[in-house]
Amino acid sequence: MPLINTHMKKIYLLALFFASFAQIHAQETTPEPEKKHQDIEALKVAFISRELDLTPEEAQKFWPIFNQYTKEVNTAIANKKEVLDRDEEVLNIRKRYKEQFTKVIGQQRMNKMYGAEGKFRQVLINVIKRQKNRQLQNGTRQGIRRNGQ
Amino acid sequence: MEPNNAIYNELASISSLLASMPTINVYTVPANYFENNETAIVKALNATQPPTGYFDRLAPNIIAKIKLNEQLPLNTPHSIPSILTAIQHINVFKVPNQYFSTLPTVILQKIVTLVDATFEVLKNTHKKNTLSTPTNYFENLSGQIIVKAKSSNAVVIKNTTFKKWYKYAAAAILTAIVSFSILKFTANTKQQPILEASIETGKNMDDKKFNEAINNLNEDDIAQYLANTSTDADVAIIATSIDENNVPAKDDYLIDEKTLEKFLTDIEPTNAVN
Repeated sequence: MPLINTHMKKIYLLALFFASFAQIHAQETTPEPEKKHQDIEALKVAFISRELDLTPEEAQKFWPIFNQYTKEVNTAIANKKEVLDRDEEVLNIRKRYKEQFTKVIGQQRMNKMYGAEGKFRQVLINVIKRQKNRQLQNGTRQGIRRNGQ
Repeated sequence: MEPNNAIYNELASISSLLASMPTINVYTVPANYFENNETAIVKALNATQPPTGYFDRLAPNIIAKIKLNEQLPLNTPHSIPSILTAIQHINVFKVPNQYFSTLPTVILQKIVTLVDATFEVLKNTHKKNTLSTPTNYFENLSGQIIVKAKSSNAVVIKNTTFKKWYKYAAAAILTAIVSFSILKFTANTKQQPILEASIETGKNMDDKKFNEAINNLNEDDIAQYLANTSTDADVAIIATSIDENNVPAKDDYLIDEKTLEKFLTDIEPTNAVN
C-alpha cells in the first residue's frame, strides 16, 4: 500500500485547508499594534518627505531604497539581542545606505534624512509630553475642585 | 334463527350462486340413527367372526398342505419354467483346462505388454512440447486480465484500526510541519509590517491629516513604535526627554499654587510640524 493513498490525501488536504484558512484569517485581521505601527510609519514618511522636499523623479528612486533600508534596520533591531551588536549593525546599515541615498538626493539631504529620523522621534516624544501635561492639568483641576468643595 | 342481512349481502356481493342457495341443513341423520348405531355395529362384528374352531384346525391344515407339496416330483413340468428346463443339469460355471495354473503367467505377460506399450509411447512423446499455448496467448494476456479485473467486482479490504491510526498520525505530522512552516514564515513577515503601504500613505499625506493623525496617537503606541524602530542610543535620548523626575511632586502643588504653570512653561512642547 502506498504511504499516501487517496483516502489519506483527502484527509491531509482537509487539514491543510483548515490550517490555511485559520492562517489567512489571522493575516486578514491585522492586529491593532501592527496597524498602529503602520500608521506611525506613514507619519514618519510624511515627515521625512517634507524635510527633504523631493522632486517626483527623486521620490520615485528614493522611496524604494528607503523602504529596503527601513526593513533592514527594523530586522536588525528585532533580531539582535545584544545591545552593542544591535547598535553596531544598525550603524553599519546606515553607513551602507549612505552612498545609495547620496546618489539619489545628494549628500546634504542625505544628512538631513538621517537627522529627520531623529527629529521625528522627538516629535513623537513631544506628543507624549503633551498628553502627560493634559493628564496633569486635568488631575490638578479635579483636585482643586475637590479641595474647594 | 333470523338470517343476518349484512352477512347475506356480503355473500351476495362475493357470489350470487352461494347466496341463492337455500338455507337448509344438509347434514341430517336418519331418525334414531345414533340410538340404533351400537346394535348395528355389534351385529356387523358378529357377522365377521371366523367359523367355530377355525384357529384350532389352522395348524394341522397348514402342515398337511406342506406335506402334500413335498410329495410332488421335482421334474414336474409345470413346476419348472421352460427356460430353466433346458439348462437344469448343465454346469454353467466351467473354466478352461489349467486356467488357474496358468493365470499368474498370463496376467504378468499382459502387464509387461502394457508397460512396454506405454514406455514406447512415452519414449516417442517425451521430447514433444505437450504444453502448447494458443497463438498470441501471452501477448493478449495482460489485456485480458485487465478486462476481467474491470468487469469483476473489486474486493474491498477494509483497513484495520492500526492502519487507520497510522494514516491519521502521518497526516497529523505532515499538517504540523506545514503549519509550523507557515507560522514561522508569517512570524518573520509580521516583524516587517507592510512598509510599501505606509510609504504610499505618507507620501500623499497633507498637513491637516498629519496633525490629526499624530494627535490621535496614544502614549503606548508611540512607546511600542520607538522600541521596535530605535537603537539603544536612540532610546537613551528618549529616556532623558521624558524624565519622570522633572514632573512636580504632589506636595509641590500644596506649597506653591503656580507649580503647574511653572512646569508647563518649562516643558512647553514645540509644534509637531513647524
